[in-house]
This record gives sequence, C-alpha cells and structure tokens, in this order.
Amino acid sequence: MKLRPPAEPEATIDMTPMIDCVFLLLIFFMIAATMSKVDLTPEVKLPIAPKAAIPEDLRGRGVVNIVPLGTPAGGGATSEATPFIIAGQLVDEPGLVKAIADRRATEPDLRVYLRVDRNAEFKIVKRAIRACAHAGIFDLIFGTFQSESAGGGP
Amino acid sequence: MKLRRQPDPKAEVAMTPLIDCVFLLLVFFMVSTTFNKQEADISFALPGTADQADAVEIPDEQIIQITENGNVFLNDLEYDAPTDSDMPELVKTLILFRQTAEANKVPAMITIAPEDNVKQQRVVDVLNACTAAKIANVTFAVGDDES
Repeated sequence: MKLRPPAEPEATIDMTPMIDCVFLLLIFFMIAATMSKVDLTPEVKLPIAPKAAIPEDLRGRGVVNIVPLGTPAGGGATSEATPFIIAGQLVDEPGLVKAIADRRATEPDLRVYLRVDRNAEFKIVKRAIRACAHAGIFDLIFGTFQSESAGGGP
Repeated sequence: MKLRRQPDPKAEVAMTPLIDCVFLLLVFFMVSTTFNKQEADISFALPGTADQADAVEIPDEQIIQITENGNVFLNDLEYDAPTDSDMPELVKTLILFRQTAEANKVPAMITIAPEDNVKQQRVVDVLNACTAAKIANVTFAVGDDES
C-alpha cells in the first residue's frame, strides 16, 4: 500500500507578506530621510555634549550656522563682518536680526537653533545671541553631538 | 481556421524586477539615514521674558566664568582642569546648589559668562554640566556693548 502523498505540483514561496513588509520599511526610511533635512552646513563640526537631549519635534526652528572665522563657505569666507551662515549664505549682524525678525513675523513660536562649530570663538556666538535678543527671540538652542563616534561622519 | 491565440492559463505580473527595485531603494534610504549623525539639543533662554504683572520671584543666581584658557570659575573658585570636559567637581557643586535652591523654594539660575576667545566646546562643556545637574534656567551674560 502506497502511503506517500503525491508531490505538490508547484511548491512556491508566498512573496506577498515580505513585499508588504519591505514597502512599509521603505516608506518609513523615506519619511525619516525627508524629515531630517534641515539647514545643515557640512562645515560645522558640532561640539560634544553627552547630556544633550535628542529632540522629538524639529518644527519651528530657525537655523543659524557659525563656523570659525576664515572658513570658506557660501561663495566666500566668514569674516568679522559676515560671520553667520543662513541657508548657505553669509550674513552680517543686521542681516541676521532682519532674517530672524522676518521669520518670527510668520512663526511666532520660532526657536533659534545655533549650530556652532566647536572651535568657534564665543565673541561670534555672543553677537548671534545679541541679534536673537534684538529680534525678540529668547528661546535658543545649541546644536551638539552626544558622542564623537555615534553614526557616520569623521 | 482559428487564428486567435489561446489565453494563457496564468497571466501573472512579474514581481521580481519590482522587488529588486524596492530592495535597492530600501537599502539606499537605510544607509543615507545612518550617515546623517543625529544632532542633540542643549537649550538655554535669554533673560527678559518675565511678565511684570506677576509677582517677581528672586531667583538664586550664580555666575560661572570661563577664561580664555578654559578655566572655569564659580564664585571665584576654580573647578576642574581646563582639559576635563566631564567636569565632575562642577557638576557636584551645581547639584548641591540646585538642592539648596529647591529647599529655599526659589528657582536655581546659572549665568554663564565666557570670555571672548573661549571656544564653543568649552561653553558646551559647562552647559552639559548644568544639564547633568538638572538646572534648567541657564542664560548667558551678553552685554549690549559693541565690542
């Protein structure tokens, strides 16, 4: 008596759940990539602060980049007169006040995110803080990394 | 004579190129998100937002000075070596300060006054110490003088 079951005509793997899963991951990473796109000037080497908190809400932030004087950026180099970088453009102090005040007019809850290079001197940062105060912004944030080696980059 | 072709028994869409493509995109986005190192926040507020209609609570305020060489002074006492970025002594003192202020039911406040040539890393070290001591009211001494 033959008890062996007959061979299945087509033994294919069902791909549908895998494709569902992959699509979900794809959409997640696409959205994550779009959300993390802020005005990140690559010249800025942020300082390390292990106790800093990774923010959950990145909305309503105006980004000001500050690099050490003489760093090439925005088609020139930063100088005493134009030490700030906004959206890749070199800006002087009155320009910074105007840019922040203009943005604050449309976004009253604006917070200013200062991405300051770890080797930048405080006198430039001081001017940026003063400009924020003149533009009516009192809520400021310094950008930092939690550690030297986490993630990619040098 | 019948010329019409017989319909295929299985008219399936070929999924393989689609899956190849989707995998490629998935890997690309995964790698590109890892390359961007995540940035973290250290926030502080500038003075001047106090509503004058409220009763003014006089906070317990301390000033931390940072010199050009990275020496950190609190009440004219030097804390930690200029090369020490963790600042354990300062953190310990700041925790004591916060506890004292809490016992007196006044907000603990720190004003950081760095010299002009202090590097940002040192300023952030001090801010980091304040965060470690859970002091939320941190501000900067920025005179209105044009230097």
